[in-house]
Amino acid sequence: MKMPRKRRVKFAATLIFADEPQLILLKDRDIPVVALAVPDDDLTKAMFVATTATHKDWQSYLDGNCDLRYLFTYPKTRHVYTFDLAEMKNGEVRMDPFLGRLPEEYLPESRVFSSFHTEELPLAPTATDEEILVVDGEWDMPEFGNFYQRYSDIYAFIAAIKNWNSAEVAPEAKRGISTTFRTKPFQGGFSYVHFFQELNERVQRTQRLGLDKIQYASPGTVEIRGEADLFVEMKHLIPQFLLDRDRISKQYGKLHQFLSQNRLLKMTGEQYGKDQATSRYIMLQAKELTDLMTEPNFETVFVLADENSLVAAKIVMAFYRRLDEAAAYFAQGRVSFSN
Amino acid sequence: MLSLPPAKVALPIVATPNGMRYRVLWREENMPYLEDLPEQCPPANAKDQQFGPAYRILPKAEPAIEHFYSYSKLGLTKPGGVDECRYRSCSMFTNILQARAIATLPKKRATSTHLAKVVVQAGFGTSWLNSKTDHVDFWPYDTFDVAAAVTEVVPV
Repeated sequence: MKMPRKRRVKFAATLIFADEPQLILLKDRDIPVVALAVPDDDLTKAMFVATTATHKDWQSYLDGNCDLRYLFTYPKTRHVYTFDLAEMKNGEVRMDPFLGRLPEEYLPESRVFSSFHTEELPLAPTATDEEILVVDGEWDMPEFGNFYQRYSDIYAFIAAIKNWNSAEVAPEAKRGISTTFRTKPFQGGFSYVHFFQELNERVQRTQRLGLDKIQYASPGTVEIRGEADLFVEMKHLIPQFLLDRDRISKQYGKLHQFLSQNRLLKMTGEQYGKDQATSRYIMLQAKELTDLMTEPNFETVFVLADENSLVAAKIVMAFYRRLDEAAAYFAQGRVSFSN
Repeated sequence: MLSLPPAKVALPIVATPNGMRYRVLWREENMPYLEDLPEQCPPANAKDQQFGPAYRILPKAEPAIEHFYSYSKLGLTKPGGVDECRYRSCSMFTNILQARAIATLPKKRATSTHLAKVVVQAGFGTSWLNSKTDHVDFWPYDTFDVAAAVTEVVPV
């Protein structure tokens, strides 16, 4: 097994200050390293224990989706070090690898979230617009989770299409969106799960959905934070789907049947390629489906799918299935948009 | 040599018909700090002001002036990334949940047992309140009276 080496990292920011830094952020090039002050018998030292974090975990921590303890205990790919902050020179510290399990005395307790930081980090603001959904009838927990997941998937998909077409979104973020569309085989269920999961992760901070408050009663309310423009699209999309559901479902069935009869459902995008005899027909049928649903813009999906009509069609069909599931809760009268 | 910042003392001058309401005038007076401070310290955005309640993390249930000493005054090493002025400040928090959470971090919890609820009056010291993060950097005057400032002590 390869032994971890000493590592030199740059001091980036203090996150919690209480008479001295208690929590700091360091960087190894672009990799976040989070370090926590720990007790030491030698009072001339300012000892810290540090862990590397993936960008995803670091972002989750900043967004309040996980606590500090999680960063030090849960991710499998982390590397742990110790160092003396009093030894910092030219804004750099040299960390020694820490092998084995971190003792409890070095770990933060649960529920220390980034909202407790005493220093401000320059971050893009999170979403501030609000949507209130009215909920009624009987629910169990998995059902509510399922509804929220479907709602989020549709929201994230619409956001991705909007961001791809926006001149204000950074090229790096756009590359991330195209990667999400182009790196899945779309051969089975897992591809779609990962596809929507990634889309949710790639939503801009200013658009990211947040569940602010649930008031469970009959009727009750669910307050969601997000971007107003996307909420407007959701408010248009779901009632429109319910209004024209028969035609939309028939179109979905037609496309599904064609792909099934031609054994294309289980074929990967790569195997299918671009210049098949069926390409044009699939493209037309998928476009018809998006036109009926009013979303997503098919041309954008086609470009994002690297002009592979089978991949574009499968993505549009996955969008339809999620929209159908989410809309069912509205049709049942258990969810409605507030005014 | 002790730092001598311009301090301000309130003088009541007007009693209105609505009762005893005072218009406050200020006069400059030099007040020494509890410890020597470097040039430009406290920073320009800090001021002698009333605030509270704020919470100070304590190592025992009986608050003493030493519990408001900075790391510099306690003779502890200055860690990297900390400027000379902050090294001489005393941290407080205007949010009790935050104060509790920070008191349970590994290095703090090794020595912390209680939180002092503090109400600082003008004339106690100079402070910089970060309203976005609820953290206070406090540079007490040498007249800072712990008994007058601490209104309650609660376990962490």
